Amino acid sequence: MSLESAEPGVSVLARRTLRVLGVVAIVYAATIATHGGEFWPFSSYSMFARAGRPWQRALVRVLDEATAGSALADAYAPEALPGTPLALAPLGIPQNDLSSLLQRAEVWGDTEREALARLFGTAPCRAPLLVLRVSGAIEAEGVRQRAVPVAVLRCEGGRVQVQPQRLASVEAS
Amino acid sequence: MGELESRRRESSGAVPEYTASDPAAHPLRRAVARWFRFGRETAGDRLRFRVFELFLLSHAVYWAWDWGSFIRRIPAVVVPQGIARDIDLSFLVGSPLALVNAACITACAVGALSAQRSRWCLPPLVVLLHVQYVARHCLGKVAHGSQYVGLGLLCLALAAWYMPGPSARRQFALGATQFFMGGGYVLAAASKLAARGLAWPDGRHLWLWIGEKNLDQLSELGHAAPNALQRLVLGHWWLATAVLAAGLVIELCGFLLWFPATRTAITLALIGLHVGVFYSMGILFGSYIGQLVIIGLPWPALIERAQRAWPRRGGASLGWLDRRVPGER
Repeated sequence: MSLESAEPGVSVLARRTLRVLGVVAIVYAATIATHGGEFWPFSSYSMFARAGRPWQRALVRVLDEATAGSALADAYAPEALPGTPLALAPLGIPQNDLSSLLQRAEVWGDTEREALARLFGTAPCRAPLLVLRVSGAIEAEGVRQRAVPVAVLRCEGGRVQVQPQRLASVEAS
Repeated sequence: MGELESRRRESSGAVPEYTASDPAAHPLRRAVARWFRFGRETAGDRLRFRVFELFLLSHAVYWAWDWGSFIRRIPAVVVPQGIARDIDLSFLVGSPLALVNAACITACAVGALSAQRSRWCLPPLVVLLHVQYVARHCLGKVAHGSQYVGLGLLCLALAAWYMPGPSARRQFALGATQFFMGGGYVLAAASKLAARGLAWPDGRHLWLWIGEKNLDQLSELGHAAPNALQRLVLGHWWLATAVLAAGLVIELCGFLLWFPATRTAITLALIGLHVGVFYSMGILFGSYIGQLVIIGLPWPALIERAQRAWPRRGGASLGWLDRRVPGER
């Protein structure tokens, strides 16, 4: 006896399953193709695809007034950073979101500055904060890191004020 | 078998057992029926489905509120993603509306547990969670930790709408999730090969990622130091290369999740991959591991074996699964 005549239940289920999976696969491909590879929950899962590509991440330091008032360097080596570290996790500031903001620092507008101020709304209003963009790249001797000051955050009138820094093009050099 | 009888059996979920040796069946349909175990559901399958359903819905509720509380702190949509590229979601960010959305998602999740309402609750849950996701990640960073839970929820919704009978719905939801998870891993490997080719597993790439993740740890905690595994791969290029190559091969073999015969082995390998990613790069895909444990390990066979070994105790404890079934209309 054939599957069609003797077991219509299983046959119907298998055919319907193939049809549904096929339609979802087409929608999957169409949505990620038209939305930059991401249309939750569909994804091209390209998170580790561009291996070896230089990265840029955020780092925040607490400065004293004297350091914040003096001229900051264009770039710092990781072992020569000014101030003391500020841990973001206890303040509920997501490292990923802060890093994404800093990666576009060259084209910041009012929206990005406001986003930065709001992210640091939970930080204690005691001392100036230096927001750095640390870049890493593969070089002959290994991985080289450089930190570039992006903004100084000050607390004025209970609100975080963002003072963007002039970005020197030292990261690519 | 008459049409009436066939419909009665489908609606009750009692689909006749499939015979793989049937020579007249289309090979693909025969394979799908075998992979999805249509008509061969056991008490272990039903228990696994319950756990799977609770896992997905609890994650949906957790993320709905977690993302909702963060969306209130976002001033504007900076980098639109997903549906936010087509529809302006500015009204949602920086407002308590995200918490209203979280409450709606919670109501949908609770409703989806109820047998009668699941069909009407699951599709809106997926859509509302998509909106919550894109609003949460509109500052530019794309997070992938919730993708497989989202795919599982989508499969639950599809099962509720398109599969006849509770047994078929449960088996479809589990099988389709295995299908998309397996495909996702293959897609991840294909993305890597498309971007860098066979040079992708160069050990120096792992060094670069370790540097990045240690910087993240320094930023988040205020201190950082490489662990033993990181020190080991930082000291040996060949070992770092071997680690990356092994990860790539395991991802490429993700499609083995589709087949019952290879599912357990590839599940254990994928869990090992995620544990390796955690210890080498500090990134924990906890929901991926949880979902793999639920859908990839042979729980039905183990439960069946336990029931055979202790028939009275096992049969009594799983009897409740037959009385009320999620998704049953």
